[in-house]
Amino acid sequence: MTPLLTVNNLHVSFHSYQGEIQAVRGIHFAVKPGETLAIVGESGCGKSVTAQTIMRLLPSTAKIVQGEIRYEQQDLTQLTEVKMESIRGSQIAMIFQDPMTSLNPTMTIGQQLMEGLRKHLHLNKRLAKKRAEELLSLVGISNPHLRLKQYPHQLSGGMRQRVMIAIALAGDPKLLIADEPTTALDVTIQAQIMELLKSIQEKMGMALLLITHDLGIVAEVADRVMVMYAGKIVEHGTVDELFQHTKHPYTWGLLRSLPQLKQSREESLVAIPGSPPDLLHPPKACPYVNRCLQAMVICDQTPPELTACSSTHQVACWLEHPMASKEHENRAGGDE
Amino acid sequence: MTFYILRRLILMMVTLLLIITATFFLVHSLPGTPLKNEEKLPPEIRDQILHEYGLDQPLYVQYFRFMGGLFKADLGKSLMYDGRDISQMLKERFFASAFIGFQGILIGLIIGGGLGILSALYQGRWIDNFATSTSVLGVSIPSFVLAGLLSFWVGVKWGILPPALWGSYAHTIMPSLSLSVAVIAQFSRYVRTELVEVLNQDYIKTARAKGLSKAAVIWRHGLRNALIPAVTVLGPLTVNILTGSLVVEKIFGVPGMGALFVDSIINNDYTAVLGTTIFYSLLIMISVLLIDILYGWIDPRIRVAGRRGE
Repeated sequence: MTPLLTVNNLHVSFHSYQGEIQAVRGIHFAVKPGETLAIVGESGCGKSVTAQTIMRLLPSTAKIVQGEIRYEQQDLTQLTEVKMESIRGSQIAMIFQDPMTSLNPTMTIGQQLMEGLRKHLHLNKRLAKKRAEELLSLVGISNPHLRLKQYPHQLSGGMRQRVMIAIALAGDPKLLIADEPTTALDVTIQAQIMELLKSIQEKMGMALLLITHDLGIVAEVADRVMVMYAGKIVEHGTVDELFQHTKHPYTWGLLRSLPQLKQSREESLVAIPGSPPDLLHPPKACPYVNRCLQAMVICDQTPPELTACSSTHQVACWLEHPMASKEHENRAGGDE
Repeated sequence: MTFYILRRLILMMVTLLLIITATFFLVHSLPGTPLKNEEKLPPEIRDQILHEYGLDQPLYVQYFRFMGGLFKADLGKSLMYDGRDISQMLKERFFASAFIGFQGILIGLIIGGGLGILSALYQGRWIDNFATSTSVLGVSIPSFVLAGLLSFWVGVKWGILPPALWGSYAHTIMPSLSLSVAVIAQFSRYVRTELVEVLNQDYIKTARAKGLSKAAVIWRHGLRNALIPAVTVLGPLTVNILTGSLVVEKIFGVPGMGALFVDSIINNDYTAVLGTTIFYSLLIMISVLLIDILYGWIDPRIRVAGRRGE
């Protein structure tokens, strides 16, 4: 299947007074129509920047240094702002982390929903209103007729995120980017919102690029997962491969940091020691070397290439290099 | 909403009563009497004049007489201008003051708002720096200095506009300009700060993610939200214009309220001082009320809270 979106060798930098911060340092990935690809990683790993780059919504201090983002034969990095406006919302839509601040407080839900409908589908006022009500019903909001006239502060957080989803769906997009859609919500609401996203994705057949640091959500909804660390992809595979056949020590670390239900109170939570490298001066070699329990001499000298473990599973780690000894696999297994 | 406005109006009445009372006793405690050349007048004539205006009565009697007149909408007669009705004088002079005042605010809001928007959109560029220096100058140069300079250069040296006095529309331009400078300075800063903050909000990103054009995002989502806090400064700005007009009117010889106010204080014209004070207080209170109503109109969150309070 030809991919819907292909990202090739993308580099994104921010300019600050201290110098150039290399937030994304050469990533490759593709999203196929209808699939769910999750990007996971800790704060500052570049996952949100990647999402914003695809939408070309980066702040003015950020720049695409090199690389291409291919969407249906067009390179999004080269499009003019006006062309990009016709893609945003209608081809690729996005929902954000915090529904409390993502809606305009001085406009009614209806006004905010109808803006996209009128711009992309060229509906008149009456039809736009009808469609807006349908969209609100679709995202599970009861009494849509009344809700259209209300303002965001009259809605709860979960409802606002539903409205955000409805706004994103207005242009009938083929790709929906969800940037930590549940992080700011209550746990009970989180499940509802993820279920809603999943059911809408099936109904509308769109692809979902899910950005999160919640591995539980990834296991539940994603088809494939990409783990990012310090602006690079360290491991990339199907959900099964990543959770059952974890290769990269960082992914291991993430999985081991998940609290266990059977864990006793006295047991302290596991954390990865150290902190990610400073991206003002990104390391030449493997960025994880200082925190890695299995680091070798070469890890501190040469950056690891992505090595294929299967046709779908890739890892950027010297341990997986064909010439590396395979002892560690037993060690890693023994850790569990 | 009607209840809210009614309550505000009643509160305004109480405030006004307090202001009148305080002003009444304050002006009467000023040294001197309204009489010119007091010492040259024969005592009998002096007493007769004082009696004619009721100024020989004890102060509390005068106070109640004045308040009594007030309820009949009678502000009394001027002591300085040969017994002319104060309300009549206010009516005559109000137009000139109101005209240059409103024109000043309007110029200030349009230019100030425009500069603020431009410098928010082009942060750190020349237009931003220009607006910043303009507003620093505008805040630090008192309006009377500017009024004098304008009158001298534009009026006398270059002869573009009449340097002073009243008559045609051209006479109103320089007084309004001098008044507007402070408004431009403050309002542009305010709009800039607010707009910069609003444009960094998440909902601006949402609006852009919808595919709206930059102009639509700034106009529909940016400006309205930026104007909410900016409306708050309208109150102090109006007061600014009013106090500024006292001096500016004097410099340009505008036959307005400001000149009347200053003259009446200098001449101990008790009724005129009270009349103008009442007038200015009302003006400020009404503009604050209007701004509060405007506030609710722009910001739906306040509107709803007000309804719940009913």
